Parts: sequence; structure tokens; C-alpha cells
Amino acid sequence: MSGFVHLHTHSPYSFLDGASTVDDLVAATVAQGQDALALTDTNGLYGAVRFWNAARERGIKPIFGTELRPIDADPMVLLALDRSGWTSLCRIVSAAQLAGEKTKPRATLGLVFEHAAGLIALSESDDAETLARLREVFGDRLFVELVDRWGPDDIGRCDARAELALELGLATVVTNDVHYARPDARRLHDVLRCIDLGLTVDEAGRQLAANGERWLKSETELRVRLGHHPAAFANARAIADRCALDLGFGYQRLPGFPVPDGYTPFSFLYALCQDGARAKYGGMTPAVSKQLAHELDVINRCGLAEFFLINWDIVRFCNERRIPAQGRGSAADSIVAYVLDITKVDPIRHDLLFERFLTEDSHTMPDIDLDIATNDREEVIQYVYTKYGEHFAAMVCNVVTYRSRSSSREVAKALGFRDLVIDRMAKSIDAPRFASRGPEGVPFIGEPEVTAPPARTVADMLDARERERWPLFRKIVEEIADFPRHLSIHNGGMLITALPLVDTVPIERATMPGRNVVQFDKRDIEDLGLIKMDLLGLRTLSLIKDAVAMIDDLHGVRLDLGTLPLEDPAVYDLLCEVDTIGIFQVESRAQAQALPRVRPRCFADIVVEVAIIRPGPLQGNMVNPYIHRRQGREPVAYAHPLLEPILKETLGVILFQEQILRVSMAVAGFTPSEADKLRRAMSRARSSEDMERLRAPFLRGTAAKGVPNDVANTIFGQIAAFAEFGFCKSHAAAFALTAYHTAHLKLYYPAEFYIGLLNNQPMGFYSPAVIAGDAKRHGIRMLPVDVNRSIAKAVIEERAPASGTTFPDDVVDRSRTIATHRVCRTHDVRLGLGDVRALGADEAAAIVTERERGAFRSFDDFAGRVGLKEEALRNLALVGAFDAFGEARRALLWRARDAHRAAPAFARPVLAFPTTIAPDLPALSEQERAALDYRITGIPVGSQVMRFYRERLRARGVRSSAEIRDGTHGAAVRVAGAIVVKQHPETAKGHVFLSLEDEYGLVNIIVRPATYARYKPVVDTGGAVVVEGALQHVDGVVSVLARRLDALTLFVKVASRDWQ
Amino acid sequence: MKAFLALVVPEAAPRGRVLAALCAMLPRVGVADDGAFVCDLRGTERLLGAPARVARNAIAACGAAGAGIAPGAGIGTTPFVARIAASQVPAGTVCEIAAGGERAFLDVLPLDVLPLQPRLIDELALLGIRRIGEFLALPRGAVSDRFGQAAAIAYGLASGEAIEDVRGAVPRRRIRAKRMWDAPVDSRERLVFALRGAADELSEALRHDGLAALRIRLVLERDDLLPLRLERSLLPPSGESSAIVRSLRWGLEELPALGAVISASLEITAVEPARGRQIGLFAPDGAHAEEAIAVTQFLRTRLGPNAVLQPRVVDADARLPERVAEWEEVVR
Amino acid sequence: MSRLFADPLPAHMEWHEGEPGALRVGHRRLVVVEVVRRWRVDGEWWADGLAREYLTLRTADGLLCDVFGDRRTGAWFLQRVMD
Repeated sequence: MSGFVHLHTHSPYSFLDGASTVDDLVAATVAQGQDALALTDTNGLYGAVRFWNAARERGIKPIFGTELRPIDADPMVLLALDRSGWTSLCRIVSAAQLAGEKTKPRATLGLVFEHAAGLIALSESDDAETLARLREVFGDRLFVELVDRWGPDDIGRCDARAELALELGLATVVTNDVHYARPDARRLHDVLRCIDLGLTVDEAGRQLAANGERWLKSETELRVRLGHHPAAFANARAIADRCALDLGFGYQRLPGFPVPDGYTPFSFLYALCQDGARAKYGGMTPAVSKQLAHELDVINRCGLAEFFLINWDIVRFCNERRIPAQGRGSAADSIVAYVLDITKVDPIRHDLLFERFLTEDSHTMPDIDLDIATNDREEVIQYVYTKYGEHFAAMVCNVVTYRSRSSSREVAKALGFRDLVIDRMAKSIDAPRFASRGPEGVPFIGEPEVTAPPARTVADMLDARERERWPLFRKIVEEIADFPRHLSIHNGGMLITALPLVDTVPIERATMPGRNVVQFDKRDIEDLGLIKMDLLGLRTLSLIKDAVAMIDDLHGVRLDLGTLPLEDPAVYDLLCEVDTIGIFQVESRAQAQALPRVRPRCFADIVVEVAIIRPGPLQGNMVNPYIHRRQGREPVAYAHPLLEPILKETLGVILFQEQILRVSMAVAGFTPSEADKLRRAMSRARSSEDMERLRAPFLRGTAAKGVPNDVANTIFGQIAAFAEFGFCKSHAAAFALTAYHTAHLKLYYPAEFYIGLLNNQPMGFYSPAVIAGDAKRHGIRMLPVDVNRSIAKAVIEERAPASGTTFPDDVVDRSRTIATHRVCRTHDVRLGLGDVRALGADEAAAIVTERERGAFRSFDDFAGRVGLKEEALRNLALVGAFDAFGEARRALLWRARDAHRAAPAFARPVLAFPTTIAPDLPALSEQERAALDYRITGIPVGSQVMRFYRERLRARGVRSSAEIRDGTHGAAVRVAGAIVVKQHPETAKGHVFLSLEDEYGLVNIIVRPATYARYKPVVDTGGAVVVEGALQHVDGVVSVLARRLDALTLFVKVASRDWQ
Repeated sequence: MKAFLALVVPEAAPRGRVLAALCAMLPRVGVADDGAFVCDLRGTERLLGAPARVARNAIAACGAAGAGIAPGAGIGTTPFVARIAASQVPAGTVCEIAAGGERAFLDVLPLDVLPLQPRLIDELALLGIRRIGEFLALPRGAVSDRFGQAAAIAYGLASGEAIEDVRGAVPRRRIRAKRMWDAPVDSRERLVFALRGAADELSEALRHDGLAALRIRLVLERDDLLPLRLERSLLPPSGESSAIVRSLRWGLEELPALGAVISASLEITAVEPARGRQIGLFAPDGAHAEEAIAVTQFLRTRLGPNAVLQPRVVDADARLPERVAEWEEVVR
Repeated sequence: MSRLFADPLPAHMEWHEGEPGALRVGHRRLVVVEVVRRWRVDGEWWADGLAREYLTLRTADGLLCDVFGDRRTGAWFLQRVMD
């Protein structure tokens, strides 16, 4: 091997100090004809695994290192020679990160000296003393770095440093302190630096590099100016040759799991399974016993007993604390997981396939993902920490990358765009175009009182300088996409290691105090062959926990959802009626459209519904064949009789990954692990050639089984088409179970259900306002926040026999199934103090605590006793929290300023501020109250906003969402509503779907690509729209195909959720 | 009679020309903070006629000066009322608010016509106060107490108790001359000769104002070619026609090719007083500090900003040597 | 002390075998005997941008001066003369 090697290179994992991706750097290395590269990101090893992968793929030698910036010495580059060097790097980086604050590590020279084994050090220091100290520790592993950044004195400094090195008997090495692969990436580097410094490019001045020379240059180029130091070039090569480290850790032992005396991990697992099986099945059946024996056998041979015990232990802890927890994913295919109570779906009853979860010769670790009630997840994580110790457990990181919204904002800021332009830009995610002006998007109904100017497009707002920089801005935003921005904790991924963590991986401080996070993400951990647990937060489980507790309190009913029969016809009626807002997994627009077609009547139908109404199957056109067969419009047929027993449950269509395995086992005679390998290979196949390579063995198998060639090819095609998108049945079944549970709660205990839903936001598909609207349409009132009744969260309240307040006419039970079955009709929802903007959890708690000393008697009494900020006091007044005291809300608003000064924290004991008397102020109109509700709590207690426009809309021939339900297919209609959901799914070929809400419910709008292109500004500005179009009324699904959209400027801002 | 006329001119209009036209026909023309032109018509009725007539004439004059722009005009008893009236009418029409009719006119208008911060307008809206009438219904004391000085000023304006000043503004005179030729001029000598007349004209205008030219600009329109601009500095400044011509000739000689010139416009873009002599501020006669300062101040008033400058070190380590220092005014 | 030209003086660089040979400024011709330093300043790409190659030269008559070449136009300028 010969030739120069770059030993000092920064990637984007130097966070805002590297402008070319690891892949680009590796590609540039190859392009320069160099055969190795060192990645040395600042104070971290974040990019190591990606770099390792990219280097292996491109056939260059990866060298791992870091540029350490000690607080007491010049920066230095440390390179790992071997495994011991890697351990040193991990220890140094981890110790520095843990000693400092997040993003501000504290490395010291002492730390480096302590962990110098297996490391090569490069120093750019000009200080003889420092170099001498380093030499004592590193000896011939210390090199003096010669870097030519094309500054005025660089060559002179390099020459002087080389001379100093000679005096000290040290060798020199050339590097280029690479920050980007090619010269043109220098712009991006400047912008990244500006983002980091919080300056605009115009302000940054000398804080940016003087020139763009720090790219991955060729040896020839470097030799032009440093050629008189030939040894320094040769040394770069020599160092590269000395470094030999491969990150493949191979199979790592699990941490030991403590088992009672006299047991081995396996015998303990075996005993647990026997007990569990008796509890779950009430006695052993041949099927259960056979399956259990088979699985235990495989587990034993894979040496995974401890892995199961670790998961069992976590679930046991959750059960003890009554924390809902359940396994998702393919783990539900396993009866061992089921009898250990890790998963909740019976694999025998639902005919699941263990081999999808684990086969004997698979080389990857099986994956058990546990869903845990979000509110309690922290407690569970803490338990795992305590159990295995912080030296063996840490959270997996999640690298937060730049997405269009965040990058636009930060790049625009760095390029000196004004704030108002940046804000406006953030609202329209897609790039504005100069040429396009809004079409007839002028609001035709003004705000009721004062009209607002029509919204301007971003292009209109740019000043001359911004206009000039616009092309640059677009380009840089594109370049920065997917660059890492910072680390966050992965939502639940935990790494547990057998060896101490810091010897294996670099860790650092997480934002959460006392929590450490690995500098590698989930994929990196998998690539390294380490073990991770996924403890995921699922808010729906918190909803269930809350609702079950309320039901126990109010009705004395102890619901055990685990034993709930799954055949309740009323639950299926509810689903068929599409009364599904808030129900897990089946509430989305796509689900709502499929439900009336699938018409689920049994649990298996919900499993199918959950599995198929997802982007993949929709895109792969898997859904229509099934639905057509289900509706009897297409005959149920099987390509081969062997398929019938396997595909019977799904009417001859392949819908589950388990079916792929079974089909290949049945028609091609594959073993389970061969079948699973085929499935994996197919899902990863990128080209048709990849796919063809898989076809031959399949056809050999089918031929042996006597399946005709053409039939075998058809089957292969069906499997291949599905493999890419498939869902495993076990996962769908686990989710379907939760869906069934939430449906049960909504059906029988709607008030408790809605409270659970509102108190665990954000969750699901809809905003709190839409959820509240749904509650009202089930006759449940939203009661305003009240300082004497509300607690921090929403709470259930028994309806007073004859409450004086009048309620808008949209609080009417319009439901059918729920109206028939609900257990209780007299409970309403009292909104929580925490819903009020500017009121934090601490303030809410303070109010409740103070109230325990006696109810509040007046506004001034409240203000004086609790001591809130003026803003909080005002917001409480405006949403009616003091209405019970009989004073007008506006008068309280006027008085809030003086009143809040009367608080104990504000006033000196002797000073009591008299509160001024408010002048005559107009009373709040109903509409203004609605506006304040939307603004302050986001939940209107009165009417939905569209009611205030209803008369004028009706005069223009606009119909309500209730009226169009009975319309005829194809009829021309006009509807209007607030946009509450906007979807722009990739799978829909440019279609955009809107859910509009009015006071009667939701209506779905389909916007075709051409229509969207025309009315984009109308749709993107949000707010509300009037839609003209054709009514679509198919199979009980109602929607409007838009032809024209007009913006309707509302007097409130309605929260919308955008789903891509 | 108390009468003010306000004209709201579109932002894109040539404001300088409009102001010049108004100054030519009316006494006391000012520019309000929001850019409207305000004329004080008090005591002008006998001379100029009724305010409404003046307003129509002013609109016509603006139209002539500004290539067809049609400002909205308002007449009121205070500049504020006149301005608001002007901003509420369609372009090219006049809105006259008679004395005593101010409240009826203002009361129904939204608050954002008042000089109030948007935050304050929001706050007032929260209290149910959206129109000027509702605002004026609040007790005066409460307004200044609660919403501060700016609100109190707006309150005074709306109630007619405070009257804004009309600040005079004089348009800058442009000194220029233009020549056109039917047969294109294509040689330097002929062009210089042809420009003599224009230079004489400018020289005469300079002499009239007692000024000397410091910078001149020549714009040559050419057949089939882009216009050519030539900027020259005259050192020392001079009002002499021959000096202007000499400078132009040198400038033209540096040009590679002239092309076929069909018209030329010559303008004096910077002047200084004709009798000014160069004073070495930092030379021995600058030792008389008081005199130096007095002279600097004199020059500053005559030459305007960016003329009397001294260097100041801003960034001794700047990467580009020319960024080390910047020029700043010797006196302010 | 050095003398800095706020507006750098246009100059003409004569090259000999890829190395600066002489610098012409106005009517003077300065023969280069040594390139003392060489560096690059390159930036402000977001505005008009600049790309300069700076040289510190020693001339035959003992003058030490900074000159730069605009790397986009190829024009040379004399910016600083050291005493």
C-alpha cells in the first residue's frame, strides 16, 4: 500500500462543523485514489458505525478517531490502533461528556494520559512543553501535525513546527483538517458555522474560515506547498497502516439474569412457562404443550433464555405496579411470550406463526418491543437502570436530523432573512414559487367585524437582498437535509451490555438529568451486534389506565380488559358506523373509509383492518382485491389448492407476513428458516435482478412439490409484491386488541373515554378541539374551567339536575350505537386548569392545594391567595374560570393587573393594592367567547366555530356535514369547514386529503393533484375552506371530490394536524 | 377657518416630484410620519379658494407631476383628521370632514388607523374596544394610566385635542441639462463640442445658486447599445463651464468606444459652496482648531452627509486590509 | 509602518515560468526577487463574493509589498507597501 491518507476529517457528526456526509467523504477518498480515511469528529464517535459501513461498502480502510478539544490544551487528534484504542476512545469521550454539560464536554489532558493505550495522537501544538508532555505518554505514537490552511503564515508555521519536532525527536504528519469533501461544500460549512454561532453570514465576519481550502485534497495538491516535508507524507501512510480496528463485536453475551438457587436460566424460564400456560389456558392442551416445547427448544438452542427472562421481568414489574404494558411486533407470534404475559394475544387461538419471530439459524437478535403506558414509562426505565446498573445500561440515541421546516428556518436565519419572512415560510412547508400567485383565494366572507388583509405569499414579502439570496437559500436547504442536528434519546431504546458500557460504546449526558445516552442510534447498535430493549411509550395505554381507574371510582366496576370477550356485537356495530374518533388504529381518514367496506364482525376482521389500511398495502394495491372479495364482488379463488388452508382466513389474498412463510413452506417445501430468509431477502430486494436470484430456488421447491410452473410463478409474484409492505399478523393482532379495548371504553363509558383521550394528548389523529366536538355530538358537555371545580387535568363531573347554563344546540347525542349502550348519560367533562395557556403544571397544582384550605370566594380572593402571573390570571378570567362569582369576564380582565399585585409573592405585607374599578366594557359575545376558548384552551365549550358562519353559508348554498350524508352520488355540492387534518400521503400520487370540521361532524375532501396545484395557497394557509365539488357516496363512505376551494378566513385559529 | 389638506400618495409614486409640485402651488407643505403629504390651508381661502377646490387642484397637480397618479385627498380641521379622511376615500377623490363632524366620522373607524402598537390594539380588542368611538368612551385618565403615553397621544389625536405639527420640506433642486441629436454623434471631439452648450447652462445655474460642482454625471443614450454612464469628480470643485467640459473630455477619452450617441443628459450630482477653499484640517492652518471645526461644520451643512469624513479603525485584524478602517463624519 | 491603499492600485503582474517576475504599477516596474508569503482569502459567496490570492513580494529595489490577484477576473492590485 502506498499513497497519502487523510487522518483528520470532520463529518456532519461534528455537529455544525462538517459539511459533507460520511458517504460523500468516503466517495471523495475513493475518487482521489486514496485507500483509507480516518474520521475524527469533534469530541465524539457518533459517525463511527456509519463510517465503518460506508468504508466497507466502498472498499477503503476505515480509521476511527476523534478530534478532542481538551479545556487545558490545544486540540488533538486521537486515532485508535486496535480494540484497546477503541476502548480508550470510548472511555475518553464518555468521561469528557459526562464531566461536562450536554453539548459542552470537558476533556482534560489528564484524561487523555489516563487512557492512552492503543491510541495515536496528532498534535498541532507549537508549544515545546506540551509536546514534550505528550511525548512522555505517547512516545512514538505522537506525531506533529502540519496543516496548511492557506493562511498568510501557515507555511512558515508548519516549517517552524517541523523544526521543533526535529529538536524534540518527534515525527511529523500532514493533514488537511478536512471539513468537507469538495471545495463547493464550503458554502454549506459557512452556513452551518453561522447556525452554530447564532449569527448571520453578514455578521459572522472573521468567525468564518478565511477561505475554502479545508477539503479532501489529493496528495499532489498538498505537495505543492508542503512537498518539502516528504517524511510527513510518508508518515500519514505509515499511521494508516498501523491502525487495524474492525468494529464488528460479533455476538455479545447478554448481561446475566439472576435466577433463584437451584435454577439455570433455562430451567427457570421453563418453570415460568409452565405456570403461565396454566394461568392463561387453564390447563395444558396438546396444542399448547406441543408449541411450548417447540419454542423452548429453539430458545434453548439459541441461548436466549436470559433474553426472555429480562423481558418477563420488565412486564412482571409493570404488572406489579398496574402499569399497562404489552409486547408488539412479531414477538406476539410466540407462545412463550404469551404465557410469560409479555404479549397479550393468544398465538394458538389466532393461529400465529412462531417462525416469523425466531428461527434457529437466524443471526440477528430477535426483537421484543414493549409498549408501555406513556405516563409510567419513566418508572419502568428507571427500574431497568437500577436492576442492571448504569454502567451496563444506557438509552440508545436518536439522531435528530434537519427536516425541511427546521432547516429552512435556520438556514434562512443564517442568511440574514428577516424574522417575519422566516415565520411565514415555516407556515408553508413547501417552497413558495415566485410565479404563482394565489388563485381566486380571496376570502369571500370577511371576519365578522374587522377585516384582515389577505395573507401574502412568502415571495411577496422578500426584500431585495432576500430575493437575491433566495436561490442560495433553496440550494443550501436541499444540501442540509438529513444532516444530524443534535442527539436526543431514542423513544425507549435501551442498550444493555455484558461488558461495562464505556469499554464498548461512547456515551454522553442526555437532556434528562441523570440519564446517559449512547452516541449510537438504533441501527448502529444493531450493526454492532449489541442487545437493545425497546420500551416504547404508548399514550393509548395511559388512556386505558386512566379510564379504567375512573370507571372503578364512579361506577364501582373493575374492568379487566385482559379477560374481555372479543365477540361483543355492539363493538362491531360501533366500528361499522365509523364512530371511531379516538379509537386506537381505526380512527384515521383511511381507516374510516375502509371500515364501511370491510364491515368488521369479528376480531379477525379488525386484525385485517389494522394490517391493511396502511401506506404500504394501499400503495401495493393489496387492499382492493380483499375488499372486493369481502363484498362478494369478486370470487374467492386460490392459485393452488395447497394455498387454501393458509389463505382461507383472508379470502385467498396474502395479507400477512406469516402467510408468506406458510405459503413458501407449503408450495416450495421450505423450512421455516428458509422461508423467513426468503421473506427478508424479498423485502430488501432493490432490483428485479435481486428478485430473480430468489426465484430459482423457489421454483425448484415448487417443482418438487408438483406445482405447475406457471402457477408457481404466479404465487411467487404475489409473494414478491406483498413482501415489501407486509405487516406481521401478530403485530396487527396486538394492535387490534388495543383497538378493541378502546372501542369498548368509548361504547360503554364515553365520558371517561374522552377524558382519558384529552388528558393524554397529543395522541392519535385529531386535535383536542375535534375530540371535544365528537364528545359534544355524543351529548357530553364540555364545561369551562372553574377555579373551584377544576383540577389540573380534565375531570368527570356529575351533571347538576337543572343546570342554569344554557348549552349550544350542538351538544346532542347524535350517535346510534353509543346512545343505545352507554352505561351513563349524566356525566360531563370539566376542563382542566392545565389546559389554560400560560398556566403551567406547578400553577395548576398550587391552585388545587390552596383550594384545599377553603373554596375561593371571589376573584380578588383567588388572586390574593394563589399569586399567579398576570397572563395566567387573565386567561383564566377570559375562559370563564371565575364566572361563578358573577362578575363580567372583561371587567376581570381590566382588573387582573392590579389584582395580581395583591398576591403574597408580589406585595409587601403592609401594602395592599386596591384593585381599580373597571369602566363600562361591552359584554363578550358568544362568538368572542368561542374565539377565546380556541385561543386559550383550544377546546370550545360553546359552539364549534362554523356555526357562526352557518346562516351566511346556507345563503350561499353551502350544506353542512350532516346534510350531505344523505345526498346522491355524483351530485354537485358545496361544503365548508375548518381544516382539522391535512394529509399529503406519498402513496396517493399527489392527492391531498382534507378533513373539514363543522358543528355537525367531519367531512372528507379529496383534492386531485391538478386541483391542488391550482388552489395550493388556499389549502396551505390553513384555516377554513369552502369546497365546491362532486359528492362521492360509495359503499356507505361519503366524501367530496373538490373542484374548487375558496379560503374562508375564520375569526379563530383552528389547530390542524398535518400528516405526510 | 381651520383647514388642513392631506394627500395619500401610493408608495411607488415619484414622491419627490409630487412634493415639488405641491410646494409650487401651496404654502406650508409637510410630510407626516406615515408618508402622507399634509398642507396647512389656514388663512388661504381668499387666495386659493375653498379647500375642496384646492384639493381637486392638488390632485390634478400630483397627476401631472407623477405620471398619472391619483392620490386620495382629505380635508379636516386637524392634520390627523385630514390624513385619515384621505386614507379612507378611493384614489382621486376628496373627502371633506366639516368642523363638528369629526367624531361622527372617526367613531366608526377601526382602531388601527390610530398610531397604536398592534399589541395594544389586540389588548383593546380583548376588552371589546375595536373602534375609535369605543376607545374615546374610556375615561381619559384610565387610558394613559393603563396603556401609556402612546395611547394617550392617540387618544388626544382622535379627540381633536392634540394637533400635529406640519413640518415643512423643500424638494432638492436638480441641476441638469439635456441634449438630443437627430444625427447620431459618433466622435469624441464632436460630442465634447456639442456638450459645451449644456455645460454652459449648468454653469449658469450653479452661479445662480452660488455653488460649485463636485461631481457630475453624464448619461449617453446610444443607438442599438446600452446607455453609457460616466461619473466624474471635479477636483478642485468648480462652477466653470470649461472645467466641466475638461473633466468630461478626460472621462470620454478613457472609454474604449463611443458608439452612436443620440442624446446626452448631464447632471450635477454633488455640489459645494462656490467660494469654499480647501482647508487642510490636519495641516498647520488646521491648528486653529476652532476655525477648523467651524469650517467643517459649515461644509457639513452645505454638503450634507457623507462628504466631510475621517477614517476610524474598526477591525485592526480584518482579513481584507481595506476593511481595517471605515470613514465616518468628522462632525455630526 | 506600512502604507495601505484604501482603494487598491491596479497593477499588472508579469510572470516568469509560473512565478511572479515583475509588477507594474502606473509607470513603475518593480522586479520581484522573492515571494515571501502566499495566502488566500475567499468568501462572502452570499453577496458579490471575493476570491483573492495574496502575495507578499520583495522587489529588486528593496520594497516589501502585499499584492493580490482577483482569482475570478485575473486582475492584480497593489494593496500595501511596507516601509
